[in-house]
Amino acid sequence: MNDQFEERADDVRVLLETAQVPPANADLARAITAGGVVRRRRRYAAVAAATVFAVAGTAAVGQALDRTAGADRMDVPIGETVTSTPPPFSTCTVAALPAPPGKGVLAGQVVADPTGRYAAASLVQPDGSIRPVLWTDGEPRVLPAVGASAQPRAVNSSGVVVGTSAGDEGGPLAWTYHDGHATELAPVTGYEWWTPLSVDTDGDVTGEAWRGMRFAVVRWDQADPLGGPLLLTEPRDVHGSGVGGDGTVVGTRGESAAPYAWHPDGTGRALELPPGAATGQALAVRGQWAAGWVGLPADKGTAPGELAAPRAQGRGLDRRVYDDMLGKAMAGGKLVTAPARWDLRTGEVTHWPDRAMPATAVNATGWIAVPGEGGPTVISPAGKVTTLPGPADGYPTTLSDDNRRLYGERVPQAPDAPALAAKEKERAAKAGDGTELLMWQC
Amino acid sequence: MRADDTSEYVEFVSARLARWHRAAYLLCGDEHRADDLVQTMVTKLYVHWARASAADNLDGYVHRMLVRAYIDEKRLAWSKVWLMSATPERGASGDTGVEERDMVVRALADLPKGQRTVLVMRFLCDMPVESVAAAMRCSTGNVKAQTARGLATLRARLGEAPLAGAGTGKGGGFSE
Repeated sequence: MNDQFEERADDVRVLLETAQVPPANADLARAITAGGVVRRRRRYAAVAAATVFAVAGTAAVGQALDRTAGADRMDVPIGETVTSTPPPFSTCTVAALPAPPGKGVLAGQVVADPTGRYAAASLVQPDGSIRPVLWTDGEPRVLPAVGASAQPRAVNSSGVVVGTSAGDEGGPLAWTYHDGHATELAPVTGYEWWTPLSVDTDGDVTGEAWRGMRFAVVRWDQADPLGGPLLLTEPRDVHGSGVGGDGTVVGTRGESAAPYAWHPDGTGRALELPPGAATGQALAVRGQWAAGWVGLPADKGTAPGELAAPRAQGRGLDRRVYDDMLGKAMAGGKLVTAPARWDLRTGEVTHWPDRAMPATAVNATGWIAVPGEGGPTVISPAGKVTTLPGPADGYPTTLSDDNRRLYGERVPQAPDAPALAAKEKERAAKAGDGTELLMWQC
Repeated sequence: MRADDTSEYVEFVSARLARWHRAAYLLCGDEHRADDLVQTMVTKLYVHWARASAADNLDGYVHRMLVRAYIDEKRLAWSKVWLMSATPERGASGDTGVEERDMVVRALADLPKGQRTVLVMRFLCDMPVESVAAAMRCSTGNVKAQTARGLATLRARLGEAPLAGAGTGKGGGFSE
């Protein structure tokens, strides 16, 4: 039968188009937040699969799944959980960062200032629009919208927030917020995309612009936000993740991912790797300290089956670039990751080969935060490990200079059985389906 | 996902939500299941947005997702879990609405699943026979046969009812 003789059935078309149907209740905000969780899980699962495969084969996979999917971990309450270890982490409480009541669900990564007083993330409203939220000591406030889909990227100790949105034509739109006003930052001419990475105490904004796989460090002057931003480096194959108070940017260089730091004067240097390590990435920097992860050959790893989830801090949306990089770094399939800390003054690198998660945050005194099995931890400059209270899937991404406050989110592992999935779903429903953002106070 | 991708996604989905919901509701005949189907679909669409938005025929891609989601509900752990955990309390409210349901919706609900699916996909979603066949994993001949049978049954059913041919004045005019 030829299609042109196929029944067009216009009468039925009209009936179907005019039949009375109840109003639609799909919720885009929920889709975006739930979809975001799925994406993160997939990322982690992919990295974990590569790691586990490289290390130990199927037996280890089973063990890893058993361990990480333990339902009991989901049930650790958030609230007045207290640890009793020597200071500075002797008494810690953990609480969920509240969303502004009735306005939507939280999404994205949380960023915080070095004092820990201010934190910022995104709020997905029921119509799907996304606004920045600023917490002051845990009290949320929705900030004015600039463009669409606003994502805070950094906040300073005066509560100045910087971030990116989508502009009218879908291009990038960088902005800064202070004293109740949001201001657009000038576009970076000649680049496809740009984003602020940090805002210093003076309100000057350091960020990154890129075209293709080449990145340049840029600076917007607080006094002249609409003046052309200053290009601080030539476009290169270096990709920034974190910025220190003095404008030092850390990240990774090259397709195979080598940890790298570069300075406001445009000079840069490769960071030391531990013996045997081939790859790595610095995710955060503060003062003389940088933190991140290094990739070790599988036979050097001592933690078969542990899940690795390295990711760029504060770069939640920049997945494509990161995936490419990670994919290439993992191309050999024989890599396990370990958290690492660099002393930028001496060049010394310290890593923890028995751990798999990256060091996600570092403060001015060299303490680092490392998520992982058994719960998130902080590690002192001397190497002493303290487990933080609260959910084991807590993933801190900031650590204040005074060691009193951390912010992060919960990153549940993929449920592997319907019963666990149901449990997870209930938990997510209780939480309003958004990303659960956490604040630890110590 | 970059911020511009998210706004593209929101723009695309917002413009089509009502239509997808209509299709889902006509497919399954239940308000809450329709919401679940669409919610599952828009979530999956968000997860796969980078790939989906590059598709030649994005609307077709989404319609295929919808019909697959409907046919293969068992394959969607997510949807299954939602239904398992939520059906009891929702059943009550669903039942009370049955009598008030639109005549067309009731007539559709009485059709076998396959016939109902082809009618909604072909005449509401405007999917070509080949695409419906691919989505339903059957032959084009099967789709055409089910279309013919579905149309005949639907017209006969509506012909018995007071609302026959509502909106067109053409009900039952074709011979198969």
